[in-house]
Amino acid sequence: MTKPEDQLEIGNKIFQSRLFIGTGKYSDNETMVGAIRASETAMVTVAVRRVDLDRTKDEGILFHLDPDEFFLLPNTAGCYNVKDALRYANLARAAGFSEWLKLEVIGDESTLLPDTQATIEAAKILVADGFKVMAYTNDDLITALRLEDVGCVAVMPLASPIGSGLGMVNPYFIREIKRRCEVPIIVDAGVGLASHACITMEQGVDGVLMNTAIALAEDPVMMANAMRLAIKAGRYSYLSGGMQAREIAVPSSPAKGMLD
Amino acid sequence: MASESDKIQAKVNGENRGISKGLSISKFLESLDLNPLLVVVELNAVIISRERFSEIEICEGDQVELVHFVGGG
Repeated sequence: MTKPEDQLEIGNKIFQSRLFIGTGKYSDNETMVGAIRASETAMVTVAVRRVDLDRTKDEGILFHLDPDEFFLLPNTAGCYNVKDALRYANLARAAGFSEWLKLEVIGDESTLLPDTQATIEAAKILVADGFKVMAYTNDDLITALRLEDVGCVAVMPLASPIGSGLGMVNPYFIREIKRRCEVPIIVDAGVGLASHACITMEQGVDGVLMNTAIALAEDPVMMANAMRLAIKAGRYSYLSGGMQAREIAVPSSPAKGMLD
Repeated sequence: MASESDKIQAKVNGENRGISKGLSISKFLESLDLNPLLVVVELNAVIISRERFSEIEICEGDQVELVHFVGGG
C-alpha cells in the first residue's frame, strides 16, 4: 500500500523498500539469503576482500546472491584513509556491476566512528570519478552538509556505533540532518531491534541500513520480517503526522452522559 | 615436467608463490579454479580489465591481488 508519491529515489534510481541490508556475520549463506528475502530489501551491501586461495570454491558471496535479483552496494569497510578507500572503491567498480558505492572511512578502531574529513575528501574524488556515493558518517550536521555539497547521492549518519545495537542515540541531530539536507538520509549502523528501526523512521529519514541486528538475532529470518514491518510502521507513523505528546491525561471517552 | 627454472616467483594476495613462466592471468585463474567473471585482479597496484586477462603474463616479482565480494555491512 506504499503510495507512488512516497517512493524512495536515490541518485535517479527508485527503490521499492526503505530497508537496506548488510550481508556480513551470518552463520551460513542459506540463512543470509532467507533473511534478505524476508526483509524485502531493495539493496544489499557487500565487502571487497582477498580471495582465500586455500578455499576458492563457493566462498565468494556471488555464489549465493544473484546480482540480477539483488542490487549490490559494495562498501569500503575496513579502510582508514582516503588512499585505501579509493583503492577499494575502484576494485569494487571493476567487478562490473555498477558505480554505486557505500563509502566508509573509519577514524577510530574502538568506536569505528568515521574520519569525517577523510570521508569528505574521498567522496569528492569518487563523485568526480563517476561514482554514486552513499557516505557513512556520524550524526554531525556540518559533515552531512559537506557530503551533500561534494555530490553524494545519499548521506548515511549512524544511529549509534557500528554493530553496537544501541539504537538511535541522538534523534535531534538525525532530525536536523534530515531537515537540512536535500539528498536522501539513510540511517546506517547501530539499530539493534525492530523498535529502534521504527523510532528511527519516525524521525522522517528516508531509510535504514542494518546488518548485525538481523545477522546476530537468534532467528535472523524472523528478525528480517520484524524489521521490514518496523520500517513500514515507522514510515507510516511519520507520514500520518502523529499527535503531540503531553504530560497530562485526557480521557478518550466522553465525560458527558455518565450515569447518576 | 616443469623444473625450477620454468618457474617465477610472484606475491599473490600477500604470499610468495611459484608460478609457471609465461602464465597469463587467465591461465593462472584457471589453475586456481577461479571464475574470471567473479574476481577482480590488481597487478602491481593497477586494476586489470577482464578483456586483458589472456594477454597479460605474470612476471617475476609481480604483486598480484585477487579480490572478490564477501559478506559485509
